[in-house]
Amino acid sequence: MIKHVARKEVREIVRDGRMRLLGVIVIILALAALAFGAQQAIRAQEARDNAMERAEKQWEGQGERNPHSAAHYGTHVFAPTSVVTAIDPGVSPYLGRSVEIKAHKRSLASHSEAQDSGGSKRLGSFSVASVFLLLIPLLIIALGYGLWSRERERGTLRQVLSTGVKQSDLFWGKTLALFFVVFILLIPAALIIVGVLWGLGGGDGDTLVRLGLLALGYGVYFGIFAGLTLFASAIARTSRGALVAMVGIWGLFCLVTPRAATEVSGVLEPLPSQAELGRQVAQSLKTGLDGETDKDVFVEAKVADTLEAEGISEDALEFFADDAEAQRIKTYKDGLILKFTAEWENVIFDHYIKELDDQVAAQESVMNWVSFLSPYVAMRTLSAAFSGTDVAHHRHFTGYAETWRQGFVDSLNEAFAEKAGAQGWSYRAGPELWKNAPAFEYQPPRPTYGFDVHLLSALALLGWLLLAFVLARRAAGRVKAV
Amino acid sequence: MWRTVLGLEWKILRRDKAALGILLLFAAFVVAAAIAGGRQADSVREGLKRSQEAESIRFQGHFKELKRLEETQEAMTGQDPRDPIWMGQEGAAKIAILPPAPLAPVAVGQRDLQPQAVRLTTEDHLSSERENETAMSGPTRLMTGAFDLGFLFVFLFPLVVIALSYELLSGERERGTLAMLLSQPVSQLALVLGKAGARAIALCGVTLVFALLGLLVAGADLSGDGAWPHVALFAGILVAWALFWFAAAVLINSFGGTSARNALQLVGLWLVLIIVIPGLVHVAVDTLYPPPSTIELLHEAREATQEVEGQLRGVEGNHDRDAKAPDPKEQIALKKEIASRSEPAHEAMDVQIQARQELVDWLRFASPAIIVQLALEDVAGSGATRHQRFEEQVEATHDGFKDFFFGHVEQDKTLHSDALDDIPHLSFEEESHGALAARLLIGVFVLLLVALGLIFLALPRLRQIGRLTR
Repeated sequence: MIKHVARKEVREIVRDGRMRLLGVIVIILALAALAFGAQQAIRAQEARDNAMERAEKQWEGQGERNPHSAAHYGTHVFAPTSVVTAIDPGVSPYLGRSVEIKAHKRSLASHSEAQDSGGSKRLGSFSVASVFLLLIPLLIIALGYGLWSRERERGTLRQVLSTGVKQSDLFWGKTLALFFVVFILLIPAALIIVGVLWGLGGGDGDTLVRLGLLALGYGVYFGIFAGLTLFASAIARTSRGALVAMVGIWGLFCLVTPRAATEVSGVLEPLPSQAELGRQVAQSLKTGLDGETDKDVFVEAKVADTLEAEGISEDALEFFADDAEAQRIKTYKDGLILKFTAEWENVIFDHYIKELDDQVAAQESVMNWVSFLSPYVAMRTLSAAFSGTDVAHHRHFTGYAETWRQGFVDSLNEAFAEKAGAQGWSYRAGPELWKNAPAFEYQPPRPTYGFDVHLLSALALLGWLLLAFVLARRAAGRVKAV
Repeated sequence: MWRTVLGLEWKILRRDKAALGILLLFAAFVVAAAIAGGRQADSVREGLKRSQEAESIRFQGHFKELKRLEETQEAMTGQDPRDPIWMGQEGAAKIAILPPAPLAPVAVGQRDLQPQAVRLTTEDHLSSERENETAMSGPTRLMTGAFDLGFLFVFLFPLVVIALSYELLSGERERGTLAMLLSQPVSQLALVLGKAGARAIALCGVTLVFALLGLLVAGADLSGDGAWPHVALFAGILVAWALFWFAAAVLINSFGGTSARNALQLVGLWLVLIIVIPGLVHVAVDTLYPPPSTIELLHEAREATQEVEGQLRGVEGNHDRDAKAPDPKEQIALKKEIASRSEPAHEAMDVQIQARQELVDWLRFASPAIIVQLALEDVAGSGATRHQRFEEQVEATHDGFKDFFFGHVEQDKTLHSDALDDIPHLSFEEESHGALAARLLIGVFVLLLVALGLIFLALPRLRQIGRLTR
């Protein structure tokens, strides 16, 4: 029976020329978005490779220089790109792509794409994800709003029910038909997406896992809209009532809630201004996190302790004023000062950046809760997380970049302390030292990392699916024939 | 005749609970959005004020110290306000400010992406000197966009119009009241246009009143220079935008389809004009003129200046306590050299940004939604044109600022207390009201023209709506 019902519904939808057209338009848009996304991903990849190569060349070709001057000259590291961004760029256009690496300063990631593009991003985002998140639900609504109500208006529902067909059979038949049509439309698009990503070099296991998770997530997301549409169609008195209500709900989920919620998250978890953060860091660099320790006192005490532990007396310095040995000790001491200064600075940078990152994470977690108010927010969050383009992935990267910066600066300071010897500050290191600096080898987190951070959103999405189907099923059981 | 139709429709509207509900909900959204936009504008304003106050205290301190030093003639120390090098680098940094426009709460626009203040120093690239006193926005918030009047009017307002107008004619027909209405002494044309007109007047009236109310609550500065012309432009854009959508609804209704079909077609149109075309415009701009990469700029500049920069960093990265201070003239010469070498890269970038902006200016006519969005940003003083003007003026002031301090160093002069007022600073010069109005009115004109065109297309069918009663 279910099969017959489904076959009839599918035939009706397919016979309606407008629906065919609508379906084709949506698929064309999805593929256009994919082409654009792929082009952007290739460009981002090239830009990153190019920038990394140039940064490396600049670093290695900086000539002869004192190692600590080299640490001032510094270098830049770049956030990784992935072919999956061709599907969903997530928040990555609004995050810095490069981190400046230099002594005495932890820089926030900067040079975001949004800033570069002078705001034309704000005109509208156009990606496979935005087509899937915004347009396909509307397509589902357009395909499904009349499934119950139109039959009622035509009077065929009464006839069908009078033949003794079970309402549950009708429900499953209609559901199946809706899913079937949507999947017939999407499967070619999905195959093309996989093909294109494969061509871009994304054939590795991680990418496949990410794609699998995305497919699963979007399947659930579309199911939610299908369920809600069937529900509205069953309870609304008229087809236009069902349609208008569903468009309203779509607007509420996809337009109003995300914007209103991000405003609220900004009020609940406000971030400081960059200038404010800068002032706090500057103050703490002078007087410590407790506001009472003087930096110079701290560094000098540490240096004195170390010298004492190693049996080097400062008085000896005075005594051998002109001696090469004294000069060597002085250099060693300067090296220690650099080392402990960096140690002092790192504690302060870590403290403030962690605080900032935690505040941003708190905002994100507000959005995870908002997932219970809007399946759009849930899926948008998960989509970015599975594509590796969310804030959590960015934090993973900047965390590594900072750890690396500290090691990098330390290695240069050590080189100064150990090799400068009697030459002191006039010591110049050459290309060998630059080449031997620690390599920047960032490994992005595993594909399921998104679950760790956004478990709530995943639960919310499943909750929505359950709710939508319980509502649709119950409404089908009570559907009025006239 | 028109009065009868308007009056009747007004009565219907007052008793239509769904329509009233939608209007009230939208009015509530309008007030909330005005307040949210106001909060953002206030946070910018307060941040800028903090910066200005800090600057003024800093300069008062310099003035007193300079007066004292001029009397005592002490020897120069590390951070001495007489020292043009230190003053140019840090001590006398001047903050160039883009002041929030009177109707700032209307749209956040580019305000959360572009700097609202730049700290002028003798450094070459000001990019690292963005004095951002505005509270940072989380990336998710930046991606989502603000819940402001700009968003409400571009995205939701048309949906409200659709909700109020999709069944203008089809509803009467489906309820069976169309034949009755046509038996009244009204022309067929007046019936439809009168119904649409009454709804348009009600919606625009409610929206404008609540928007103004919201702006007042949000702390918009309506006494400021140009505030009322801006309000008039704002109202003009809104009315033209509403008329466009009502005209589209009248046209679609005139075909005589069912209400559901009308709704579907109008939502489809909404989708194309508001989501799809702006997205495609963004694609077109990014494909034809890829955004200039500041990362690349950084490297161009770094490579062009590598040796010179190396010498400068060599001077700066030397913490040898016994080393003598670097020669100021040498330092200045190095900085000038760096600036001149990185100049071509900066210029190429400016050209690309300009080309992109020009393309957007043209492509906005691809969708009325883009016209409205950009116009609202312009009214709120958060649009690209105003930010571009600011950048240009900052660059010019920055050149003057550098010349001032470099000139002192080159002529071996120290800073004098009288000279503090002569340090170049920026007082932002707004675009003239005429130029702004001209740009916006073109958009309004285009919207009205399209609306008229739609009505014109509908006219032949509107004259024969009697056929629909059969």
